[in-house]
Amino acid sequence: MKKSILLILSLTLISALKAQSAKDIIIKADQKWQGLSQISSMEMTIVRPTWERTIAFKGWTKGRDYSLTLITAPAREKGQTFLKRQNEMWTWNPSINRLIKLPAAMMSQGWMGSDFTNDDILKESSIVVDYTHKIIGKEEINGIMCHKIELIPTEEAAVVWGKIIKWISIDETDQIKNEYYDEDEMLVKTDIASDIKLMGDRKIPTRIEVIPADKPGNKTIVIITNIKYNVKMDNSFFSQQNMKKLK
Amino acid sequence: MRNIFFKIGLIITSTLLINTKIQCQQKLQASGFVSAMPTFMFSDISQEWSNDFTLHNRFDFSYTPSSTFTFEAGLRNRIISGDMITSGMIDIGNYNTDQGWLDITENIASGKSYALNSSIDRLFMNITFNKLEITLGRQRINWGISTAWNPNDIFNAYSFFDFDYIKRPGSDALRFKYYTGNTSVLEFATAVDNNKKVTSALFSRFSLKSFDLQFSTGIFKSDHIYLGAGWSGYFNRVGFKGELSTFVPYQNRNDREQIWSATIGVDYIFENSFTIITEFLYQSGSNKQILSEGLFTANNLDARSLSFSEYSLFASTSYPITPLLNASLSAMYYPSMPGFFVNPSVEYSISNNWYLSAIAQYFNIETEDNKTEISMLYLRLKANF
Repeated sequence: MKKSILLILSLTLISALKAQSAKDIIIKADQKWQGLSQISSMEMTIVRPTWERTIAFKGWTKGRDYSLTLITAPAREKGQTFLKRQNEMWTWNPSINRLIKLPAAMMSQGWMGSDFTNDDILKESSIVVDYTHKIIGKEEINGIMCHKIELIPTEEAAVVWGKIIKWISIDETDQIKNEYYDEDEMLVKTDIASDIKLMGDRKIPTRIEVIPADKPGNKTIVIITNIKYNVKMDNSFFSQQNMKKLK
Repeated sequence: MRNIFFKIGLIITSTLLINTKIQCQQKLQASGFVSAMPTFMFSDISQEWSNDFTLHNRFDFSYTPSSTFTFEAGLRNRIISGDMITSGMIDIGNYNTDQGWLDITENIASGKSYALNSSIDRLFMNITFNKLEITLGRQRINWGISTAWNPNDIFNAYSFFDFDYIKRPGSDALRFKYYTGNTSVLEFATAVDNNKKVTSALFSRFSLKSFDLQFSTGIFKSDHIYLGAGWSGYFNRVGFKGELSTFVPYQNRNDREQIWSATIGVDYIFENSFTIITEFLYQSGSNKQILSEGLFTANNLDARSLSFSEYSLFASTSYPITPLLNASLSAMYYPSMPGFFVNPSVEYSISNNWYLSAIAQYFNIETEDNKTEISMLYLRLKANF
C-alpha cells in the first residue's frame, strides 16, 4: 500500500517535472521568437498551382496586446495600416482617408488570402498560456535535432486549433516545424522554418513555409528581411495617431 | 486669377515628381495608377448606344523632410472621349469647375469629342507638435462611417455611383487634430468652397467598449447650424453602424426647413469572406436635382441631400470566387419614387499590380413627369504603381 502510494507520488512528480520542462521549452522558444517587442519587415508570397502574389509589410509588436502593421506592397494596398490594442482592432485606409473599426472575429480569417490568419500576424493567442504542453519525443528535422512537443488547448482558451505539435531545436530553441490540427485531430497545416540567420541580437529562422494539408501545390512563404528585438516602445506608440504616420 | 492656383499647384506637383528620383525614398514617396476604361451606355439595347472611353491616371506624392512636416500632393488626369461628349450629353465645361476655393481643376485641352482634364485634388502641408496636428490646404476630411451615404461627411460628400474615383475629392481647409488618447481624437476644421461658403465644425471620436462613437457640430455652408453623431461597432461578427445629422437654417429661415439625414446599417462577414452590407437612409430633404444634373458626380451632392429619394435602401454582397476573382453585387431601392439601381461587378487580379474589372450599372427610376432607364457597362484595365 505504502509502496504504491510512493509509486503514484513519484510518477506524478516525474510527469509534473516533464510537463514543466515542456512548458519551459515552449516559453523559451516563444520568448526567443517574439522577444518583448519587435520591429520587423517581412515578405509574404502566396503560392498556388497557377499563380503567385507577394505582399510585404512592416510590423511593430509589443507582447500580445499591441501591434501596428503597415502594408508596403503591392502598390494598391500600400500605406494601409492595422492597429491592435488588446481586443480592439482598426484599419486605416489612406486612399479614402478613413479609419474603420474591425470585428475581433476577423482574427481567424485568412490574412489577405494567405494560409496565415490574422491570429498568426497579430498574435492573438499564446502558445504558452492557452495550451498545456507535453514532450512526446525527439526527432531530427532537416539535420537539426528537435524536441517534439504536443500542445493541447486549455478548456477556457478561445483558440482555433484542436492540437499543435512543435519541433523545437534542442540547441537553439528555434521552432523548426509546427503541425496544426483541428478539433477532430485532422492536420490542417504545417509550418517549416529554415534559413537561420543573425537578426539583431539573435539567430533565428528567416524563412517559413506554411503548407495547408488538403490543398496540394498551395503554400505561403514568409521571408523575414529584417527584425529588431526588444526595442523600447511605450503602449502609447500603438495609437490611431501613429497608424497614419507609419512609413 | 484663380487659374494661377492651378499653375502653381501643377508646378509643385511636377517638382515633386522630378525630385522623386533624386530624393531618398524614405522622404519622398510617389504612387498612383493608370487605367483605361471603355464604357457603353444605352437606354434600350436595340437602340443607339453611346460608346465612350476614359484614360485615367493619378499621381500621389508625399514628402516628409522631418517627423514634424509632411507635404502631400495628388494629381488626377483624365482623357474623356466619345459619344457622350460629341452628342453634348455631357457638358465638358462641368469638368472645368472646381468645387473648392482654389481653382486647381482645368480642362487642359478639349475638342468636339474629347476633354483632357487635370485636377489637383490634394495639396496640403501637415505639421505635427506631439499630439497636435495642423493641416492646411486641399485635403480630404472624411468623417463618414457608412458605406453608401454619409450624413456626417459634411466637408465633401461623394457619389456611390462614381466608383472610378476611390480617392474622392478634397476640400480647401484648415484642420486641427488633437489626439486626446490612443484611440480618441478632437478635431476642428474649417473649409471654404467655390461659392465662398464656409463650413466649420468641431468633431470628437472615441472608443467605448467595442464601439467607436463620434459627435460633431458647427456651421454648414455659411447658413446652417449642423449637429451630427455616428457610431460603429460589433456584436461578435455582426457590424452595427450609423450616422445622424441635422441642419438648422439660421439665415432666411422662412423659406427653409430644418433637414434631417440619417443612416443605419448592419453588416456581416462570413467565415469564407462572403460579406453582406445593408444600409437604410432617411433624409427629409431629397434632391431631385441629382437626377437632372448627372448621377455620376458629387458636384451637386452634399451631406444634406445624398439621394434623390426620401427613403433609400442599400444592400451589397461581395465574395472572392477565387483569391484572384472577386465578385460583388450592390443594389439600391427607392420606395418613395419608385425606382431601383443594380450594380454587379467582377474584378480579376492579373498580377501583383494589374487588375481587370467588368462593372455594370442599371438605373430604373420614375419621377412624376419622367421615367429614366439607363444601362452602363464598363471594362477597366488598371495598373497601380
